Amino acid sequence: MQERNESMQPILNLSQDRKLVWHRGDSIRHLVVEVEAPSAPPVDGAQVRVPLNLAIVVDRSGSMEGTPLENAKLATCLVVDQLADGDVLSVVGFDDSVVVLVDDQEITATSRASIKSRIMEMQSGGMTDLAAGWLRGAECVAQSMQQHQRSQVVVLSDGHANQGIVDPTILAEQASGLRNRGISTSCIGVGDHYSVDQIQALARHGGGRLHDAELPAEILEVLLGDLGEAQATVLENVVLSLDLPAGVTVQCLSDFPKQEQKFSLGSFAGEAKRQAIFRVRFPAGGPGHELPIGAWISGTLVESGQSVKVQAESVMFTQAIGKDNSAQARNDEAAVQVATVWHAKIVQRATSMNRDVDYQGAARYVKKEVRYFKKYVAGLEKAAEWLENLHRFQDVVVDFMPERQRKNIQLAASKAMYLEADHRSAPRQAWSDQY
Amino acid sequence: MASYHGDMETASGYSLRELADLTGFRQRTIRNYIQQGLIPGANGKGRGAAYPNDSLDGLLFMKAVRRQVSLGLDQVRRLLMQLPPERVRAIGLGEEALDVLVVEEEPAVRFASMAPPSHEALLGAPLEQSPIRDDSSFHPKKGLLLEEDNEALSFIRRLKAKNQSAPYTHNVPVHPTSRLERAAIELENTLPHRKPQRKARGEWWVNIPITPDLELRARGLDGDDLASLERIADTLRNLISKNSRP
Repeated sequence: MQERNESMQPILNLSQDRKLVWHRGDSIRHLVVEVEAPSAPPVDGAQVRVPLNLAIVVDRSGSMEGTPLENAKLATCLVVDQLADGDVLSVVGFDDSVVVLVDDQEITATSRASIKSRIMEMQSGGMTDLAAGWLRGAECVAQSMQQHQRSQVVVLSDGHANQGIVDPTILAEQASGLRNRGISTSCIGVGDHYSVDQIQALARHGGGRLHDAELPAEILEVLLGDLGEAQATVLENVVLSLDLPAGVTVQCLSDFPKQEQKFSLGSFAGEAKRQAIFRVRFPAGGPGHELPIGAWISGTLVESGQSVKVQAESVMFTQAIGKDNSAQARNDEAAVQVATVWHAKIVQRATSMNRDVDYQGAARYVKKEVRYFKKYVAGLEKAAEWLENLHRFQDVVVDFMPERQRKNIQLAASKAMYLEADHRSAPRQAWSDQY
Repeated sequence: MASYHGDMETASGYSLRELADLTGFRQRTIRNYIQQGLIPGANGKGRGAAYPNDSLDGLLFMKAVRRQVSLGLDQVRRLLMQLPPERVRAIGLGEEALDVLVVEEEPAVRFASMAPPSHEALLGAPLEQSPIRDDSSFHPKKGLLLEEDNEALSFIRRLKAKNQSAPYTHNVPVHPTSRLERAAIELENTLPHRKPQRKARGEWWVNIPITPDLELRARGLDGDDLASLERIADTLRNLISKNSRP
């Protein structure tokens, strides 16, 4: 049984797949960074959580008409029941205009019924101005920001924003700015037609999570699941920084939002774990020359509002002559972590290319990656399974894929990459069985 | 080995091999970029085909950008369409420094040729700081942040003002009542606001069948726009199938 991390400090571990690099340069090695959040602090034997300042932003555009909107309203009403007295809730509906149904309301025994009746008044409308709805929800949250409180916006949309700000790059920048000011954003995509790019940009850069509710009935469980994660958050705005020797460059395989050598890892529930995999390229040097890589994380403890900073013990790479370099042993545990994320990244990126109708490009990309991947995983227990999956995927990605299949693949790959929970209760095929 | 003459327009243009020599891209990669509408294709066909300076500028720009920043081809395409040709050339030739993606003030992604901005300029508050930590900035009675100290609120209001004045917002001041009207407006919103891609040989068209006698056809749509068009096709298909039912 795993020990609880009750130190109130996150744990940061670094490992590497190989320790030696070729002294003539251009060796590629992988760095595995693992972060584990502290446990939620117990008070009098019970888990305590800080108050939540939450805005639920519901897409009420024409395409949500009927069951999706009714389920979204029902799910929001259930959230009202799940919130504790003292939490603050706002509910915003948006189509081409924005309606604030519940503005900054403290949850009390008496306020719940009136809040729910206002939520049920929401009607469907026309176009989809996602950015306006999201920002209005964030504004409601910001108006009542307090110390020792978790501030979060959850956007629920089935569509493709077609009014207002629609560019994922700009949505990402704005979500990132808001995250740095203490308000995180999670998104729930409903059905098959939502724009993954737009809401993924909000969620990933907003320090929250991206969920998929394929069926209207799943809106409830996914929204409640996200609420559970928000309530369990102990550490937020976690940023990983790397300290690299001169000439060493890194690429983050896990695609965490990046600013220079700082990578935003988002928020963590108690004892949650996350890993970031880096592909590291080394410069030329001389045999015996040592290249240490250091890392530290910073973040804010939700309960106390205090900043924490944890530094990991550096990992050392040593330059060596070709013979020693070739003969060195591999750290299989780290290699499996690398291969899992690498595999997910190949599938995720090729699926995006398929969505962009670049079928040939997707097939070429998979073929090229498989060539390197095959060499890397040789000797690992799951190598044959991974390669068989990728070969099957290569046959599928070269032609049109239904949007639901793309979403299922990308969602599963994303969950594998970020170690996130899937709140949908209906059983799903393994992501490798989606093709 | 071919050489690039900077701003001197060559009369005959470049061959594909010369483009490959000058930029370091493989010939098939260049053909692929042309097919995707990232750079202009050749003037003419066969052995005499000559590629204009714009093709070379575009390739050098891509090389410079992708060496420094991790961007997808869609984002590079957007930049190539947004930036004036002289800036594309200057960045490609390394005459203009390519430092950062600028976030603030400009509504669209752009590259800045300036000193790297501070972390505050890019992301606002320093990452290590909690935005609501300083007790002195709390309202004495309610425990709320005073408005002037509420960084998140002032940031949101700045964004709202900026977004409202953004030139690429698509405001449709009508409230469509029927699904057909909504589909028509969505179609109108999706297509005319896109800047046309640079014309390239071999560019692709997308055909989305609706019924055996009807299909939507569009040129060079990217992922989001294509998804939108597919949604419109679904709506039209539903409408037609409902109306044709006895």
